[in-house]
Amino acid sequence: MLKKKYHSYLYPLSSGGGAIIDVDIHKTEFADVPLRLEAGTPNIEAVIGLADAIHFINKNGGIHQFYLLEEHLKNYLYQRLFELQDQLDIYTTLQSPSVLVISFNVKNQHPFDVGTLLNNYGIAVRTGHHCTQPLMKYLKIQGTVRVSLAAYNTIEEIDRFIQALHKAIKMLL
Amino acid sequence: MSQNKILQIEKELLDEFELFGDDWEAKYNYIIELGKTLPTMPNQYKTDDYLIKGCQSRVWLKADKENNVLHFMADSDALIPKGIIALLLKLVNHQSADEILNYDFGIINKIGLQQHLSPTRANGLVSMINSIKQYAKAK
Repeated sequence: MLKKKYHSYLYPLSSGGGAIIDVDIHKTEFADVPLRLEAGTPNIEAVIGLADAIHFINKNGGIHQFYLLEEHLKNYLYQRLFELQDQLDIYTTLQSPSVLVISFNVKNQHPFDVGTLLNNYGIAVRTGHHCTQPLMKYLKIQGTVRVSLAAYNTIEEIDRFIQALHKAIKMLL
Repeated sequence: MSQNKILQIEKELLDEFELFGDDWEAKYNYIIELGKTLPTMPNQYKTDDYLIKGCQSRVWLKADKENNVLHFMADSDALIPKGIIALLLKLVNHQSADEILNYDFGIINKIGLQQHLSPTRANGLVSMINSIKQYAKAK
């Protein structure tokens, strides 16, 4: 926390409504901290959204419940993907601590093709280098397909994804 | 009428696509197969000079202009973009620069391809068309 006596040394990166006391041709008098640093409309929707997200988590058993649910989904997703391991290169391991994001490729197929077909089956995945071009160069690949889940996804949706992946592989071979 | 040749090919393609109706899998299968018919592009041309910017996959396009007629060659490391560029080349290959520049590439909407591509993926399609037009405009 910045000591109060230094507050008057802080100047805003961007100025705007609500951040000033008086503006003159030669001099601008800023409001006190924190108002001088909060020009314009505050990020109200984000504050309300965050509160609602916390409420949603608490209402559904708390953060540990979410962790268990996501672990359950992650294990199932890996299990289903490993059934196809002869046809896939999977770049994430179950052992590595991670959020629920799994990168893979269909062997010898471009991630763009796989992603485009999955999209048409109603499955949203990200494809490309995911802002990690040095890693992609190291792996000598153009990119990966990245499937990510969250607590609001279901086992049935994972089954639908695997079914769509089967169809996509069949179309590309 | 100079426009007739490309429009004639467009009509033939649209007739074929009409058979698929709303079956997007059939459309994609057709496009993927079309890509496989594309003549091989020699590796020496698969360089940044011929790379189309704005595609998530790599698509190379090269054109030679002879007596105002354009002869294209293309390739991609992904099957669907390769099929799409093959489809576009079916229309514009060996046509005159004027005919190409007069054509609106309406086929993309008419066969409903764009609605099956997410916005970032559809950007690549626009880049392909722009690249073809640039070759047609070049001296």
